[in-house]
This record gives sequence, structure tokens and C-alpha cells, in this order.
Amino acid sequence: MTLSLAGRTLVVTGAGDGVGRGIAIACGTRGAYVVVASPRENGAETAGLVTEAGGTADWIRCDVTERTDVEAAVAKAVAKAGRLDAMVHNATSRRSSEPVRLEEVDAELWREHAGVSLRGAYLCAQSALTALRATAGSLVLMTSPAGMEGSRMLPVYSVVKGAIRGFTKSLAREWGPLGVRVNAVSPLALTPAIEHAIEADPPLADRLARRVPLGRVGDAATDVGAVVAFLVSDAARYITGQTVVVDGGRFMGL
Amino acid sequence: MLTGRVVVVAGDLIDLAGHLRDLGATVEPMAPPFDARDEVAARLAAIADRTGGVDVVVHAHLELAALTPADVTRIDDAAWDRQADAHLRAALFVAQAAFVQLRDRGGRIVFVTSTGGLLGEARFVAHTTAGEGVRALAKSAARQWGAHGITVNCVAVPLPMLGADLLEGVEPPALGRPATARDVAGVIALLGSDNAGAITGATIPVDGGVVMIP
Repeated sequence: MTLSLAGRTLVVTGAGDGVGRGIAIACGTRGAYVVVASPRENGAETAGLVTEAGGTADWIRCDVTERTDVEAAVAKAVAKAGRLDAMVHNATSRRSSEPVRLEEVDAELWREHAGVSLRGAYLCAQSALTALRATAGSLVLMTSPAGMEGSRMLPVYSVVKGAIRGFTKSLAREWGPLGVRVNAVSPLALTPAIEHAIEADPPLADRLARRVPLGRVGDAATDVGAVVAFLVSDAARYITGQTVVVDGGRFMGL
Repeated sequence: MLTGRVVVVAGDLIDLAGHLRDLGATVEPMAPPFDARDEVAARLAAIADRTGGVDVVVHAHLELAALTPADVTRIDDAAWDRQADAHLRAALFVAQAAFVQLRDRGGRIVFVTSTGGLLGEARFVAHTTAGEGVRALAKSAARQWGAHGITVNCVAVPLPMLGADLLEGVEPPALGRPATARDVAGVIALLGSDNAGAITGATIPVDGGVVMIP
């Protein structure tokens, strides 16, 4: 059974590649109109892939640290489809997968991570609320196992991903009475970042798969995107404030 | 448990310093702001020089403005930066300063957070965003710095203890009374003592039994 998102509209930030692209494709192929928000031209590629797969999508150049860009992405959805059913905040700093020693993190690196993930979340929430209230829609934010169990290699990424869960829970309580749901998704999927890491260290693929009870690293569209499509659909109308872990069973600590 | 230990308390809304002194610690308070990395490191280094070495660093700083309830859609950009981002930066800078002092001798870092982040709290989005970020910071620091004999943990206290008015009623504590600052200091003392040498990356709610982590 595949859920239909016909007539629904989403904005997906950081949809130029990786998990964001997978979400755009999964929702697009289920009938949603997807505004692909990405600061780079790869957003146009994603929009093309959604269209090829039978969906409708437009790329809008969007830096989520800029209020006017985020507002423009919401405005685009409302102008073209007359509604916004979901905002998916998936964008992270381009330096997310760069290993770092915590004692060496300076204010600039912090700003890069927190700007995209946290200020981005705040701007997505502020920009989308009016439109989401009108459709009893939802906000989905991407978190990570690093946010729940910490990370030896990626400590700053882990901080902002942990913070996203605090944001999700409190905003779900704040917006519940308004009829707007807020959830987080913690994915494990083959993304360009993981592909690069495997290229540099081929045995990593095996090590990763061994830690996943289902024995494989997920697919951004068919494994992760499908769950996001469910979360933004009416089938999930009683789910809010949750972290949905979509990682083949790697993390079970909640 | 803390006799002979030098405990630095960075930021302190609930007089942890007084209670930790009662528990035998030599307490060195550090006042905010903690917004400049090098300046925080220099101040902590000066304390270490003066006292002959720091054993425990407690980050108990909280952004006061974030403890006033407000809808996140109604605050402005400056408020968001102050209440969420600045809180996290302060925690990062204090942890980094602590690492410099503890990297060769080992020691303890304790973050005081609120249980609001564990449960989610309407109208405290910025505060709880920072709070969950601090918990992840503690876990990552615990993983990176464990090899130096440094433990990093969180003690989560109820928001009302910090002076925040909650909109919704909270579950009554299982113990029938609210937790006190003395209770919090007691757990910090445990975490700072030899008895807690194998606890790291943990969050301990000290709230009389309201939050029970799944």
C-alpha cells in the first residue's frame, strides 16, 4: 500500500541531494507538489528527478539562514498550489560530516552548524506557521543518532541534532492546540556524505551494515522518504512530538 | 564527598555554590558572560593557577530571558540567538576551557540543564532547544574526552526551580515534594566524587520523580 499525497504541498529544505532529495522524490511520486529548497543548482536536478518520477516540483534557491529566503519558499508553495501541508527542515551545514575535536571548535564553525540547523529550524517554524495552520499541516525536522547518543567524530553535528529534538518536543506542545504537528526523523541512508566516507575507507560499508540489524544502509527515498511521506499524511494525524528512528534498527536506545 | 576538591561553578541561578561548600568543596564561582572563548579559558586558567588545579567544572549558566515563557513564533531573531544559540555557545566555551584544565589530570564536567528539554515544554522552545543540545554536547564530550579521564554528565532540574512559570500543570513528584537546590548539589557532589568514576554521558533528572527517562 502506498499512501497518496495527491493535492498536498511540501517545502523540503536541503533537498538538493542526499536525504532531502530522497524525501522530495518520495513525496513527489505520491502526488505531492514539492518546493525543493536548496542554495545550489542541485535543487534543479532534484526537481527534475521528482518530475521524471511522475511528480511536480520546483526548485527555489534558498539559504535557510536567511529569513527572506525561507519566507519565499513558503510563498512559492502557497502561490503555486494555494496551500502548504508540510515544511520539512532537512538542511544541515556543508561541514556536517567533517570530523572535529571538540576543543578546537571555534565560534565560526559553531555558527555554520547552528545557523543552518537551529536558526534554520526557527525560521522554518516562523515562516510556515500561518500556512500550516490553514491546512492542519505539520513540520518535520531531521535529527540523527548523533543527537541522541553523542558522537566522538562529529560532536558539533551531534549538538545541533540533539537540539533539534528539544525544539521538536516543545514546539509540538506549543502548536498542538493550533492543530499543527511537529515531529523529528532520525535517518540512516546512503547519502553523498556517507558515499564519500566509504570511498575513503571501503571497509566502512561493511562495518556500517554490521551495526544495522536489517543488514544494510537505507535508501534516502524508499526507506527514509517513505516514512516522511507517512508522517506528513493524514495517516499520522495523531503523531506529534516524536522522534521516528528510520535506521534499520541501529539505534534502539529510546 | 568533595572535601579537598576544587569545584568551579560557572553561572549559578540556585546557589549551588553555597550547597557545594556545605558538602566540603572548595568552590570557585565564575560569573557570566561566557560568550568569548578565549576570555572564558583565561578566567578558568587563572582560577586553576590560584587554587593549584581544578577538579570539577559545573556549567550552571542559563539564559534568564529564555526562562520567561514566549511563543517561538512571536520572538525576534535577536531573542532566538540569545536564548538558544548563546546558551549553547556558553556551554561549549566553558567545556572547552574545562578541557584545557582537565586534559592532563582528569576530572569532571557537569552541565545543569532543565527537565523541560526531556519532556518538551510549550513556550520554552528556545530554552529546551539549547537544553537538548547541551545534553548531546555532554555525550559527545564524554566520548571524545573519556580517554583523558574526564567524565561529562548532565543534571536535569525542574523548570520551576529555575524560576520559570509553566503554563500547564506539571505531574506531581513521586516523592511528594519538589526537588531542592540542595538535592541538585548532592547529585553534583556524587558525580564529582570517586564513586561516580564510571558514569559518563548520562543525564540524571533531579526532580523528585517526575521525569522517568524511557
